[in-house]
Amino acid sequence: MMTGTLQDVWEGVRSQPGRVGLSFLAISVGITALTLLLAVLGGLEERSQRIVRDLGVNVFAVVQNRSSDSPRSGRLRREHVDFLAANLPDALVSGARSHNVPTPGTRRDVTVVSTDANLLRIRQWRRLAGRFIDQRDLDSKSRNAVISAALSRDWRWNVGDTIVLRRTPYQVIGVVETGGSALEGENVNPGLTAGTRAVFVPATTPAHWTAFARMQPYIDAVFVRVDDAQAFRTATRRVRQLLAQPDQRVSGLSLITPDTLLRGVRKLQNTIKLTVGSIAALCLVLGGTTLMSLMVANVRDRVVEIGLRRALGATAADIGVLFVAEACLVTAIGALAGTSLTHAVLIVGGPRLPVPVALGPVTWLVPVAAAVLLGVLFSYWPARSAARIAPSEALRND
Amino acid sequence: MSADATVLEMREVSKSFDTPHGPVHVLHSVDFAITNGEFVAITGPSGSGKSTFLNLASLLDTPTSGQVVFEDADVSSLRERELCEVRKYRTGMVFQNFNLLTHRTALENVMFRFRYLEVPRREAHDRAMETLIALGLEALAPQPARLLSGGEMQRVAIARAVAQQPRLLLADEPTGNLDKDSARMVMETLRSLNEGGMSIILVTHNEALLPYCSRRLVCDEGTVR
Repeated sequence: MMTGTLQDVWEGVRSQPGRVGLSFLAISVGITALTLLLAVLGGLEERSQRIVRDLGVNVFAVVQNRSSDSPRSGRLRREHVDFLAANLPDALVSGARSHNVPTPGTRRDVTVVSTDANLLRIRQWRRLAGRFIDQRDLDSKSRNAVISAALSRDWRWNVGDTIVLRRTPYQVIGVVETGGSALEGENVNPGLTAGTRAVFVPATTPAHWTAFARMQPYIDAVFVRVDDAQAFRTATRRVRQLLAQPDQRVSGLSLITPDTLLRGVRKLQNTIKLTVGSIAALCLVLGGTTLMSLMVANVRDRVVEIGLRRALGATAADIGVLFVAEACLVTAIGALAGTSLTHAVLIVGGPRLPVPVALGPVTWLVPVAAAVLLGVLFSYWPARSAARIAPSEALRND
Repeated sequence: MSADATVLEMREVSKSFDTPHGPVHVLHSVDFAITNGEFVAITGPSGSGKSTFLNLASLLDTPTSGQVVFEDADVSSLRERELCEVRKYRTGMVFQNFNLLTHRTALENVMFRFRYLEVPRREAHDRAMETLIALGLEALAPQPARLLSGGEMQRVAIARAVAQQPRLLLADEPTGNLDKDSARMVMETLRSLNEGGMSIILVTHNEALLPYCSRRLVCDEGTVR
């Protein structure tokens, strides 16, 4: 029975190569656009998740605006970290400042981040070896450093090694997986990112080789981590209030939350949804109407065959299902072709696209399911017409 | 079933069609019966109601009034699905234009008889082949239907109609598109099936075919006499 159905469906499709080809083409183009849309939206969603993950869950940052023309007296300083920590007892607070420092024997710089013991827990980075900076390092101004995993991998630095930063020897005490590449892609304030080649040193140690910092211990960012989303809202409000107090003498600050980071991505997502989505919808509707005209012509041309089938015992439902199945076969094959082509193009050329793409089960299954649904929708009326032809009327066309 | 058992009976059957100009009465109070092994010819001028009669007899249509009894069961009030069941197993039809699926082989066309039956493909193949052999058409089995002559096409169509061994075979002008020799071969095939016990209703304009039939009825002005 199943073989018979497949044979019938296949022959029905094969018997109208011109019309089937046209429907196939229209559906393929629509499905290509749909697959592209899903791949790009998936890519942007992945980027969003990476951005949030890179900043840290329930983490926000206070940074100095890049365009700020605040006087030096109005910049973020380490004392603000202590002030916020004292006033937000349920939150973890950390400050960080980045310095580009050349390394002896190479032309490459590393990003030296002077920070405190809380940064690792706030940013939720993974410790791969050794330990992170602790309070003793800060108090004793130990020349201890923690390096990023990329540095450890690329430059073969490990725990116990001694590295030289501005002629000062530091001992490597730990390795951490920093992430942060997604934030860099968003062109955010550089204070938020340590980069992949980062060395973390106690906030108390770089002062001796940063002449100006000796007088003014500026920082690039303050990071705050709270327990949950509810506390997050309260903490952001409280930080704004605290830093706005006149005695803090700070201005030109921005509060960076996952929402602010994702604003650009969301905007891009909406634009792509609107443009590529419209193209996909138009192509699919065009494909659907072509399919419908194919099916109407198909029914008209095969009235006698319908009569024969009814004479052999086919029910009206059998006839309806036959035409719907034929339409679904056309759309499913069109979808597979369109989706396969899009996957092939994106696998080869995806990395060169200006937007991220993500391929997976969704970009395979959704287009094919959409195509089958399209097949059902646009063949329903012709199939119903076919099913309603009285067998005696059908055979009168003999 | 005894030799004279009634296969199909029509009792006071009328059929009319609604048109924009009012109902058109095609058949009026037709009484008809065909017994087991009968070969009945229905003749009559165009528009006399022959096709309507055949549609009712083949259960493709239902009467406006009256009863159609198939093997002692009143089928005039059956629902569509139940009528399909009867058509599947009990009747076979042969058409003037053969209605073969031209892109399929002769064997596949005969196998198509089992398309809506719960018959495994292997069994359908064997039974279709047996039918072709019984009708002397085995040489045509692998040939695409579109390459067959008119007479061969019609004989393959007859093989398709009888492959399920129906109780009643209905033939609508089966020689209408054939030359004299092909028509003779088709009628010989029908005669051999009738001699095997199959009841046949033949609708034809061709008086030359009447000697093959055991009874002749004339359809005229909505009646069958």
